[in-house]
Amino acid sequence: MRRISERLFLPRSYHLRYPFGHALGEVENRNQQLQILVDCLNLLENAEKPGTIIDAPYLWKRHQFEELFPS
Amino acid sequence: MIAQILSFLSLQIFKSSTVRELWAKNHREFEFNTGPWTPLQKPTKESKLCLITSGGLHLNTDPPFDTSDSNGDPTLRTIPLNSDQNKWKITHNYYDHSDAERDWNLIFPLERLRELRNFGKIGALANNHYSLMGHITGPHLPTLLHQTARELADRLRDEHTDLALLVPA
Repeated sequence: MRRISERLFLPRSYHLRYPFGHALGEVENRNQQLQILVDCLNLLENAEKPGTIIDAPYLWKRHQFEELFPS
Repeated sequence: MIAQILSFLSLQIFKSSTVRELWAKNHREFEFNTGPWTPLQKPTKESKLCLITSGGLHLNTDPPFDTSDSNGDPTLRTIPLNSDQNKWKITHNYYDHSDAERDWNLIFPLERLRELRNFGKIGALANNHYSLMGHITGPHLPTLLHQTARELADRLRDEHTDLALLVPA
């Protein structure tokens, strides 16, 4: 999907190497889903030019996500 | 009959993650050397956000996406902010959405965005959010680009949306 983002020259992209149908990660993994969304919001605030792509450091089912917000 | 068989076979083939990766690698329907750019007008904590998915989500009271057309369905569906999640449905044959149906946040994280709004990370959520069916090809691409995308942009502007988050499936 990263190649498609590059070819389309999207303004801002956040790239995760996760399986199709799992854009936000794993089922019921609230911490993971919130972390990814916060990263996307940070990208919105920090990107300075079109075509900005951030590669997420979170490996599929290997990263332990911390609680960002109390549930 | 032959067309139906070919359509069925293509849908089954696209359930393979390897095939989809190959498709994405070689998908060159559009290619641009530059892109649109709108600087952020205000911090996200003061902005109104709209969520858009290409996961084929729709209300079960709305027409489903047309999966009989091998080129996909380039039309748009509206998911109101306060719609009942029990009435949400996915009609999309080109990816495995069984997990997304267990947790909508995987492709349509409206519940998580509500939390972020409540925690002050987002100013507001739009009253309407939107869904498309990914895997649009052939003659439907111009419709998607020149008709559906413009309709969607008009709606975002009319609803005074500051941010659009597109989640692919």
